[in-house]
Amino acid sequence: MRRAREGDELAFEAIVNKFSRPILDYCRRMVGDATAAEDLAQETFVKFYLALSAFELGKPVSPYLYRIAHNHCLDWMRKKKVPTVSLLVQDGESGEEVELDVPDAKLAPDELANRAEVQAAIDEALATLPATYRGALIMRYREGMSYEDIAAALDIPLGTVKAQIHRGRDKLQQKLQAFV
Amino acid sequence: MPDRCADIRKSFQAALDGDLPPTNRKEFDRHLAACPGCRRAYGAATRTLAVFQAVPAAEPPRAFVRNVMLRLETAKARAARRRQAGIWFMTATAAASAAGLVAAWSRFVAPAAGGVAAAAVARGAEALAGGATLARAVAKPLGVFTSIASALGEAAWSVVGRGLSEFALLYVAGFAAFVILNLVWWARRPVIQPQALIP
Repeated sequence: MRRAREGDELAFEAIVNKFSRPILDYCRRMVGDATAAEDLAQETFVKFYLALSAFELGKPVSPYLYRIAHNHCLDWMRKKKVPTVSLLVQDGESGEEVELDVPDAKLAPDELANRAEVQAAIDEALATLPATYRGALIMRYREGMSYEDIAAALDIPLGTVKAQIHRGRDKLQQKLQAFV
Repeated sequence: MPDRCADIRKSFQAALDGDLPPTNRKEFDRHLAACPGCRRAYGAATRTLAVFQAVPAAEPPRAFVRNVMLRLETAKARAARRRQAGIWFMTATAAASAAGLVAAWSRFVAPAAGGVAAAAVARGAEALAGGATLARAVAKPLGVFTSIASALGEAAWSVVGRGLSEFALLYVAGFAAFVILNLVWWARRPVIQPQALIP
């Protein structure tokens, strides 16, 4: 990081190499559009480079990078006028507990995850979540980040992160209940 | 749903995160073993996350890093151009400020200072004139000369001074424009403030 901050482009390239896959995946899950995600991920790294002078050495890189990616995705969604849904309204509408009817015979999770309809259901579920819920859920379960790092990346309190992940997971489960 | 089941379901998140303390975990497992509804619900939650995690991440295209570096070069060039434009703005503002100071000094300060100096010279000349006849004889042509110089000065000021006065006004307007342009440039400078976009 120190070398990248001093303008060493090879050091910066190493950072891009290390984080390109998770950041691309994050943008893909956030915006639900593979082409736009690639563009957004590349721009994320450019913004990260230009903002390196503000980065405090010794701190973890990923929350900072995800924060830029998250904000860049939000910005893109605002410009594209991608509709976002208020989860609070939806919760009010479906306040009752849903009894899950899980079939006994199921495919293994990795087999399910490769099915197009499951991926579409995941994208659909994510699209119905408010952007911060979506971001928190992806960071937690796709990127394996700690609650503390997610709170730092989204600049929200730890308790809020936990609540958002909990509700986001419930929503995802409702959408996937036909498959799992 | 019984209260006990509701309590257990509230602790699903902690159980999924592995954050349940050992004693609570034992109690949690005992309940799941005895309650088919909670067991199914927890199983579904576990599988949902397993599926979500197992969806393969797209592999970045081969040219991804190269494209980032190309975009970076463009962004750096753009930032350099903005910096250069900023330097020009600053230089122009400094030049306008200097010109304005000269104009304002000529318009407001110099005439007053000139008036004070002229009065002092006149008083000195009067004292000299009153002191000696010879001096009076000398002072008379000097007085004529002073009057002529004064008339010429006033005529020159009436032509130049008006121009300078208008210039001073233009300077104020120009300076305000430069300040606004500088503020705009400063606000649009290529510095990322990540937290600024958090809704």
